[in-house]
Amino acid sequence: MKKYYFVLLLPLVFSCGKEIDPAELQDEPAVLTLYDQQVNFSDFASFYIPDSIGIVSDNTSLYHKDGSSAAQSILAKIRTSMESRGYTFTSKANAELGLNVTVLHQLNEEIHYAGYWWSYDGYYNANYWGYGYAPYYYGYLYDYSYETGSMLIEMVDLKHAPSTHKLKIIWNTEIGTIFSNTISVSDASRYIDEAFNQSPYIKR
Amino acid sequence: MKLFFTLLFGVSLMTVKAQEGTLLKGNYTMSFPLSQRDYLSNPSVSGFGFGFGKMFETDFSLCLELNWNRYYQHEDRNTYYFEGGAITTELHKYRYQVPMVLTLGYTFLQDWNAIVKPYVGMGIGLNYLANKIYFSTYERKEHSTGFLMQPKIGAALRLDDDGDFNFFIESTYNYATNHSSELDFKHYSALNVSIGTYLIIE
Repeated sequence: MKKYYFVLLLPLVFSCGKEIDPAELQDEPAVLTLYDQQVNFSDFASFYIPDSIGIVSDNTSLYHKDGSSAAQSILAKIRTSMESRGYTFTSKANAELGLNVTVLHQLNEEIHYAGYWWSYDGYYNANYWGYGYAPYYYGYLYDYSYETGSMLIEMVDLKHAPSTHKLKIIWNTEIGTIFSNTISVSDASRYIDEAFNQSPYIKR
Repeated sequence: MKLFFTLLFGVSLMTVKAQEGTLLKGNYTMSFPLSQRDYLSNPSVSGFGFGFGKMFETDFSLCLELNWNRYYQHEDRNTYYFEGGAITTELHKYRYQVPMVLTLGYTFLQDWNAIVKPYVGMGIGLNYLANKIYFSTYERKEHSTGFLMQPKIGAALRLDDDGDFNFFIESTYNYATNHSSELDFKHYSALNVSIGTYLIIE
């Protein structure tokens, strides 16, 4: 009878297999957009976008601004996308909307944060927009995990900041792992298109 | 009537003593989802099960059974809208279904030393269900445990003279109380089809 015991274990052979390795999925980053549903985006007329991309890390000594040609092409793509929705590019002082573009570089671990986390001495903090130490906040629940190589675009309400003394983020997109090793910067254009296509409410 | 059973089940013309002993079983299982098919409809072709129990002289059996199935479904890159936002991504969906039941079974034609012995059973127990979604490098997972009812029908094919070693094919209907607010379902059901072998050790 014992000779039959191994037969009982045979089904295990036909059940082998493993899940997909998430690292294999880096070639197709997810594009996430969130927005404040209380906001009427047609109330805004103009916008400003800085001339460089903020590079942030969980090591603040690595903070810097990237003004390379690759960064410029990404910023130009975002600017074109905004203009195609009827918004006018203007000076920082006159803009009703501000756009922060950030790439998360060299994160040693996933970060979960429900709030604004890189307004340290480094990149586009509230002072950059001329509002001293006014806090950023989201106009919606936002608790998401970030990974190395993700690009974030955030739309800030500058129009109402003088009265509220706060910088409210009314729209943001996260393009996951776009700057991982396997994706070229030029792919960013396609994913920026996807972010705006997801957001038909952004229009003048 | 004897001729009928002889033709249908290969019954020998003389009865033998009913089998009694420890029951061990192992099986390969396919599973077909019957609920939440708009979320995941692919059958599971990756599954197995084991059972340990007792075969009684009365042709009844009591068996503790554990099954494991993994479902997989890939969704091409698409945009999914939700309240306050949207996400564009491809999806890799996995589901793990692990029913654990105590089954009361009854085997027909046991006394006739039939080559083919039909059987029925009813199992009750717990059903563990886990749903995982991979999108880009992210992962979402939710799991639940529910009460399970599992009626079954099957047939065993005798592989030795004593009837101690048998091949079987069986089908179970799984109805469980697993629920999920995230995936918006209040119960879960699936149809399992298994093939395998079982031993009766006297």
